[in-house]
Amino acid sequence: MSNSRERRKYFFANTMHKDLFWIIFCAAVVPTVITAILLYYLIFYITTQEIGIPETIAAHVIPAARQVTVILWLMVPTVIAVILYFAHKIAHQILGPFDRIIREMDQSIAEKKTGKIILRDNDKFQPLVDRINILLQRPQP
Amino acid sequence: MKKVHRFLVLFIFLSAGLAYYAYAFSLPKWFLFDHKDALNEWQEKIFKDRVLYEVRPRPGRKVGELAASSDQACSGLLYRMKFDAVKYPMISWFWKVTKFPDKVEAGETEGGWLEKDDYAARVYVIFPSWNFLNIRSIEYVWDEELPEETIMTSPYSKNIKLIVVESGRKNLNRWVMEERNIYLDYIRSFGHVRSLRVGAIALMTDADNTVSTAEAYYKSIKVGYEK
Repeated sequence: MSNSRERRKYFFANTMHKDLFWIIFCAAVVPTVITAILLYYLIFYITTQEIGIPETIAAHVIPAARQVTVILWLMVPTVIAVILYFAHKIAHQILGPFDRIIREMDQSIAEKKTGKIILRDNDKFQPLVDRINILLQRPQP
Repeated sequence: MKKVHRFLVLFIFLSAGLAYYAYAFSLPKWFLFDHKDALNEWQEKIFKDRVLYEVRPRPGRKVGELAASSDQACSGLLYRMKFDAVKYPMISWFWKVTKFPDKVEAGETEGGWLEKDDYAARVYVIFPSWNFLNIRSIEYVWDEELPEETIMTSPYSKNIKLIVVESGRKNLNRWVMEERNIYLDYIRSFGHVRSLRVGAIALMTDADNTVSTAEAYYKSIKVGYEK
């Protein structure tokens, strides 16, 4: 119960969660932002180069670029929020079972619990847990 | 490995040197319109319908002329060339107007400036920028009414300045020579700059906003030289 309170209280469950979150977040945001800026710049820069005549640029390209800029300013926070949500969720999906394995192993070491470590249906690390369970089932010397 | 590095450095310096010489010797650039294919090095840019641009070489003479005829149309000819306008600031050309667009009539009916933004003859000097919102240009125009040396901001953008270099009908049907210092005109129009690079020049005769017709001729354009 106290653990679930902690999880609700803090955005990150632990340092590893935080590290993994930032890796996933940056891996998604940095290429997205770079691609968006490059595409925006290249499309409009090349278009202006191709059009050449200043009045045509001023009448057609610059208004279009301004509209796209407004849309980008509206979309960027939305996209970042979506990436933030998924980065947090993915980091949690990876590290949630990891924390549970550690907790169950701690209980086994403290002899508060006997038997296999059981993961939830959608948890990662099942192959690792299977091998740990084999070790736990071995008779101690 | 070191030899490869040395070769690379030598190659880069040689290329830079050759590029500089090619650049230095390409100026001043003359446009003589002395053969039928003279417009091949220009790009046609259409704003609204096509203006008829036609090269008319004159047999036995070194210099031909470019005739421009606009019937409610607006298109220009663009020539890309890069040069330092501080070092080589001069541009000169000959032009002749035979028919002005009907601005007064358009003004009476519409009353707006944009509706009057037609000139029988324009010569553009375009200054590129990495920031496409900041591409600037000076347009030398022959206007029927406005006094010479008037500097106006285009109704399309504050980055486009129009300088009236020839005014009125007194020289209608006559060749007139113009010579301008691009750098000084830029300072007068936009303010002081330390460096200034030209990216292209262009010619235009238009009569689309006034829904009328215009006719002009251009010849012997010389770009990028010192006074």
